[in-house]
Amino acid sequence: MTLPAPLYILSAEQISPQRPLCQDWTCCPRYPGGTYCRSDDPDFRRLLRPAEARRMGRLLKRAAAVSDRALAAAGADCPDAIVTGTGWGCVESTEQFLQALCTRGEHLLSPTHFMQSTHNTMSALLAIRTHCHGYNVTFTHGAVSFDCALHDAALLLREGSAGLALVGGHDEVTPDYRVLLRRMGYAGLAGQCPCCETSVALTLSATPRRAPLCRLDDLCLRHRPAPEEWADAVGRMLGRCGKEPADVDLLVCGHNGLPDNDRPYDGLARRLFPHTPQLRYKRLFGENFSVSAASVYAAAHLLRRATLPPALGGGAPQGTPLRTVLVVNHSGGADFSAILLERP
Amino acid sequence: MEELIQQLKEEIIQALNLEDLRPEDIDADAPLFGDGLGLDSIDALELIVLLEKNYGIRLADAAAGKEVFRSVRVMAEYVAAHRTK
Repeated sequence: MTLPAPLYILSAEQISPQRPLCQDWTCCPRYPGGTYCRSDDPDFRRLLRPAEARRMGRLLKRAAAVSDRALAAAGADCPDAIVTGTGWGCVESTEQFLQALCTRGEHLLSPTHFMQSTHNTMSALLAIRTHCHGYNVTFTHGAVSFDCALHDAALLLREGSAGLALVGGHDEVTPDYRVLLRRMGYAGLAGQCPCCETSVALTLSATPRRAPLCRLDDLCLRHRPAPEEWADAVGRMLGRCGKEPADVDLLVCGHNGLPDNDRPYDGLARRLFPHTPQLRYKRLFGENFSVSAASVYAAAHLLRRATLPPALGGGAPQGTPLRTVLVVNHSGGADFSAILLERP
Repeated sequence: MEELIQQLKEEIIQALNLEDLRPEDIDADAPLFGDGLGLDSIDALELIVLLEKNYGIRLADAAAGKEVFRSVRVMAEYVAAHRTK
């Protein structure tokens, strides 16, 4: 049996409801309450040059900050490829542009807000800042955008088209956007974990380089799988990597408190992982279209620590060693993803 | 005129998001583009929008725009002569 060529997550950074650009959430996690919680932004004036930042909206600043940190931690200035996932892109700039359009007509529109209102603004900005002339793609596939971006980057690295990819998942939630998400029945509902914001950047490499956070063994995506098909696909993916379900030390899963959302995770756990501890990461990072990026970020850093911190519980005995972590997500019962990570 | 210059400086700072500048940091006679404030072509578009939105002045001629945006003082003189609101 030929195992899938392993890839390595060298670094990963976040801006979210947790303390930004650090891993304090592993020892003193914040559990955002209510139905809506914005990110805890760092002081961008200390991270970005004012002349450069003045044309960036909030989400662009976050994307630039986490990407800078992730690249620096990986010891790289310029990636070979930039692959980004975002559900709705720079919503704040889009809103400002559309509001001006509604109130003042097609004249007198700000070119800056117009430029930032496109979905691929982040990838483009990151390419300009890093002088990356390579592959540059933005996936806008709702809540599976980041998973698609990671999948694309993995394919790119495995075929040898790139050695280092900067992969990101970025979404902001403005107050008006949050109202729309609630009307759509997607986020901010009673009983659901709060609607939050996510900016995550990670560096994915074909070689371990300097001490990587973890290895990415394999990942699989499924669109509208039949009942049981997802569990079968997860089982086959584990088999391809020479693993049994019992080898998985931690299941990082996207429970959000809504029964329809949580049922597939419970079904998978019952069938394949009845005794595996779980980290329900949305209690920490909330719900939004890019939050699955936070699940991979969290899993990668937990693997670096090698044990599940007591503060995060998960039903595991204190000091449970972590060697293999499976990250599972789905969006509205339509798009499913499973990502197998391991200590290098 | 000095009052209009001060007002334009504040509006430029706000429109171009020049967070690290105060009105007194801008020399009214210094070039807005190139060596002075170091603005670029996108800023020029923002300034065109500013003039139309705040003063009812439509700049259709690119050559005229280049002259109008030579400095804050020149801009203020043009606004004083052509404003419709």
